[in-house]
Amino acid sequence: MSVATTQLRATDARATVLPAPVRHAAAGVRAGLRAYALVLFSQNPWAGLLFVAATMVVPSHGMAGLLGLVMTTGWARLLGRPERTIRSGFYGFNGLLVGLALGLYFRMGLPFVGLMGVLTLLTVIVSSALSNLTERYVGVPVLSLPFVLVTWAAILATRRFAGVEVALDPVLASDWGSGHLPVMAELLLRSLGACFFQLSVLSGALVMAGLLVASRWAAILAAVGFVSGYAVYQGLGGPTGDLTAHFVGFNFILSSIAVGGVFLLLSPGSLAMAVAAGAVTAVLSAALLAFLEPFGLPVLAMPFILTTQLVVFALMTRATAGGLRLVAGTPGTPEQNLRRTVYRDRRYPDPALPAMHLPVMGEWLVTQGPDGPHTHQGLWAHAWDFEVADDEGRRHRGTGEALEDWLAWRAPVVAPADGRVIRVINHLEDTPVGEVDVANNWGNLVILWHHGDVFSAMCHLAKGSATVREGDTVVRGQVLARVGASGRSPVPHLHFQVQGSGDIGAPTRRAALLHYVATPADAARSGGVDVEGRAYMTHGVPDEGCRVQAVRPDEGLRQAASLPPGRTLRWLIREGEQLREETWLSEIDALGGRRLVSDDGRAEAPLYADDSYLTVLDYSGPPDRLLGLFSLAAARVPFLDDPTVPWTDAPSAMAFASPLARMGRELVLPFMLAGAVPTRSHLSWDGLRLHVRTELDLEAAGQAGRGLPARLDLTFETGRGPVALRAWRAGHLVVDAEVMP
Amino acid sequence: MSRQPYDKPTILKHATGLANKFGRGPSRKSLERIDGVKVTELIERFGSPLFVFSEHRLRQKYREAYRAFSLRYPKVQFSWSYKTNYLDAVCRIFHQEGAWAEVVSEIEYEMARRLGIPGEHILFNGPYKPEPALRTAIAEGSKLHLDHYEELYTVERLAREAGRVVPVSIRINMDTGIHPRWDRFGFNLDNGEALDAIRRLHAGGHLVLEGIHSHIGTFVLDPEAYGRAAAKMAELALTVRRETGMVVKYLDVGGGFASRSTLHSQYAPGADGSPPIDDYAEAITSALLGAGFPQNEMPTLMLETGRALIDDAGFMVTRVVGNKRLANGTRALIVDAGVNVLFTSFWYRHDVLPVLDRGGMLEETVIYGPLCMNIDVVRPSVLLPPLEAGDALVIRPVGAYNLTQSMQFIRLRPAAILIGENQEVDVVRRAEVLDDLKGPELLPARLAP
Repeated sequence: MSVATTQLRATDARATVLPAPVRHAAAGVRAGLRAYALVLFSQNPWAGLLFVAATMVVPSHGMAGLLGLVMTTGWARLLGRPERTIRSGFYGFNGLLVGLALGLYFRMGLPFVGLMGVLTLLTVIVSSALSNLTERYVGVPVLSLPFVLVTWAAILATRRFAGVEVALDPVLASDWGSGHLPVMAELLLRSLGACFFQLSVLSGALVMAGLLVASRWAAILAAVGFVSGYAVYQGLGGPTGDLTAHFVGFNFILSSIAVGGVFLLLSPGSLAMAVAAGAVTAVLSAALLAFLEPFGLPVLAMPFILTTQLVVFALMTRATAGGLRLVAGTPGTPEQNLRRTVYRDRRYPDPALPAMHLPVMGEWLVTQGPDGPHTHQGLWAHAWDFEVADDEGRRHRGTGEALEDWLAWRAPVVAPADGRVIRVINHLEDTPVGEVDVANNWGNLVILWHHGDVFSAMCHLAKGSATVREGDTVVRGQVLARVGASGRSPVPHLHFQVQGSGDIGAPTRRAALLHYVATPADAARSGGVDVEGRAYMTHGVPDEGCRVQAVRPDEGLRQAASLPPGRTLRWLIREGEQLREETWLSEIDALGGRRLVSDDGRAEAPLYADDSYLTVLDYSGPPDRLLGLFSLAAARVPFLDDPTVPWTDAPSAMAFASPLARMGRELVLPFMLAGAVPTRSHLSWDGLRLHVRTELDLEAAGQAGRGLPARLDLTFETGRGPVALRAWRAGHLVVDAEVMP
Repeated sequence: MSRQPYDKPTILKHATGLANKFGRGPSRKSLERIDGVKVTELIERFGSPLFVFSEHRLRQKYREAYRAFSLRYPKVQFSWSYKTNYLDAVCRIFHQEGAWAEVVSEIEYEMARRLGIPGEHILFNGPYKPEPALRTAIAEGSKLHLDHYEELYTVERLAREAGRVVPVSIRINMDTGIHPRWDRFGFNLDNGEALDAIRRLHAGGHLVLEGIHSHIGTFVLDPEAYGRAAAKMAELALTVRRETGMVVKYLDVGGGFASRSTLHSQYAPGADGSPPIDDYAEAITSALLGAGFPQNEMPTLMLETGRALIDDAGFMVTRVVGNKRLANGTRALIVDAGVNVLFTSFWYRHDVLPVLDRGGMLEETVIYGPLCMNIDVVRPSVLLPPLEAGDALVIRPVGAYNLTQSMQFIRLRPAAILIGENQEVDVVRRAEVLDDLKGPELLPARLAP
């Protein structure tokens, strides 16, 4: 299992009122429950509790697991492993499994405890080494591989250690509760129980209950994977007894959950992959059984680990994402991944995608976009050609026979991001209008290196116009050269591309543009300044015919909308006749992640801000909190000083739905976007106060919009941050909140 | 085939092509429609004389100017110079396009406020701003451009009384290599007065420098003069940043770009002789981009362009009221629009175009206005075909200053109309009636008729 990030939650902060020992004990219990839940890819403490119960059906067996968990955690502390990783339950869950696996064979007693003491130390060491190797160098999750290796070692070792007594109670328990359910259901439950090396149907039922609490989709995937693996194993004539006697069945389940929704984003495609993963695991299980037979070793979780790691590795090394998407960041339950990704995907650029500001100032026309019909093809597909056009679409004055007639001619070209100049060509002649210099295809150019393998190239520059030299460090917005017509450039224009190396003419990389006002090709200007379809974009990939206008940086707006970490906001809220208060804290974590959190820790809204915009990523907490409304009102606040330009968004309204409705929506989320509210906003700025008005399209939101206001007015003030939030429904002011000074 | 119209014979002194630099002589030009609307129809509906403004040209010109600057500089803000033309309709068009307001008196300030412009989007210029006006401007956060020390002291006192720090800008003047050198507005840069004034306002503790403003002249035909001005202003801003730590948020290079009008002293027609706005943009922005501002402290470039944005969009429609031969044989026309409504005739050679050219020889013609004053000459000499009383003429470009500087002298002021983007025609100022002139007067009872 990969390392789960655990932030210092506000609940911990609130617990400061408790005495220190109680606090530590509570934190310890939570970390322990997390380790149990982690076996089935969850962090839900309630699920963890149910899993604990499942192991305790035979108390001595359960205690062996608990012993493993506690001991590994102790060793990890003693060895000075990172506290974050310890709290995530990573060591604990491997130790837990070692304890449970060996507890199945051996009786609890002093020799066993002694053996466990050594094995748990081994678990910590192997875990540390393996996670370092696989996660850092290969990039695949280490899963429970440490457990498998340590357990194999232990089983082989105990052949020489007669002092460890063999136990029979767990095996006896396997008959409990059997025979009441249909065969398949009983097999499924037994296999679920086998995830924790439990043999009884009762344990299986408890595990199933925990799984349902943690994730409905995981439960579905468990059944899907099991059926698929079973069908293949059985269909090829494999003995049914293997599935339970050799603990093979649970591998199908784990593979299916891992591939179907934990490491891959749940989608119709990943569901198919889950079925396939069950089948692959079945075959691998048979192979491993045969392979390990001479050694007398069980397969344990090895088929699942192999299948999952291979699938993830194969998908990771693709050049393009295709239909199957790996989950970025720390994987959670299928639902968590979906919630996080589905909305964020639609709302934010792919973090892996290089993103650049426009390399020009003012408004430009895209005369050829990515995959353009003329030259942006094949390896060089991801590029833009920019020209300037007036309202009627004319790109030149007069006849256009002279280069000077063209509106783009000699307009400054600026650095699209901070970087270093690694290549400058500056001596080529600008070709007369209509002519091209194919010998020097790219013409005069400047290539910048931004970071890693992200380079940008600005081509066809005017002769002698470069104002930077190779080796110079440039900052975003710095003038590099002027637009020209050198190289293959029949009319003055700028060719812009992001590429993977600093070579002239290197293949292009997919990229997004940041922070601009877009006017689509078919937009009609209606007499005055209102242009239908014109909208602000935090990011995008403009196509041919689209007009793009770089948004000028506005330090004043940025400062007005800032929420410096450490700030406390005390709101006075009037809802109808009722007055109440709410207090938020602005926090920042070690990795720079920022959020607003209510003082009781129950509501939180992660946020992100740079010098282009402020955005609230999502909201979790009770539906009636002001912070929830704020997350919609400040879903996206661009630093854009133009009240005539609107922008749209579709933040999630999941948090405002009832738990049942939320579960329902999560079930359809892989197939269709449910639970988002389309919004349309614009802002006005008077130099001191920034007003953001957001209209919620409740009609389009359907069920998701129930109980939400139709309009939100949010005001920021320079030096104070948010100061007022008003919500309107059906023309009535329903929430009127102000920050107390 | 239709019959050729009859052409009355005229005897003229022959001017050979060789004596004329432009070859075979002028081509015949007439203007039947403005933005697709027939001029004769306009006269039928609204009478003559008549100011005609073209919304299309206003917007087009603004966008062209904005494009010229915004392609070259990241932060550009235009402010509409009210005194150039403060017809509400005209101001609103520019405000819709995104321009702020530049005003030079409390009445212009009020006009801008009435048009919905917030205080902070008003640049308040001018050598005289009465104290109540300053109070209002401070309270509403408008951008005050200080012109002299007395004003600086007054604003400082008002800031102290209000108990707050007031952002202000100062106007400076300097040598930019052109004549005449305007040094009557603001503080002189070259002799150190401007920096002294800034040090003084900084030391006072109640004012903080927000911007630097200059306005080097009017109808300046040399874009490089603006480049030099911008460079000097940038240098001053950087000096201020170094010395006092105050970050100058904007540099206002004023206005004064030449329009396509032609000065009486200019040889070539303005349309050919005046530099395009791109040249001004290039000179100014190059100076600013090269000045050495840190990337995150680039000041906003403010522009108060007036004439260059509106001149071309204004037309005067007038009618011939009489034909004349002067004693020396020169042909003269009397039209119904005089210098009281075409004030800029004193400086510019406006185009005078017949609406309908019926053929006939072109002849040097003097155009007189309708006033019983010797100075009422609209064009001392212009080549025109024969015209009859009642024939319409269009005089252009007259968008800048003519309307704001027009006066009721002998005749009342005419109506102004606006032709919209879709050829809709609206009266934006009705023709005056006698009460508009006599309304403010009070006749003592003993003098009553």
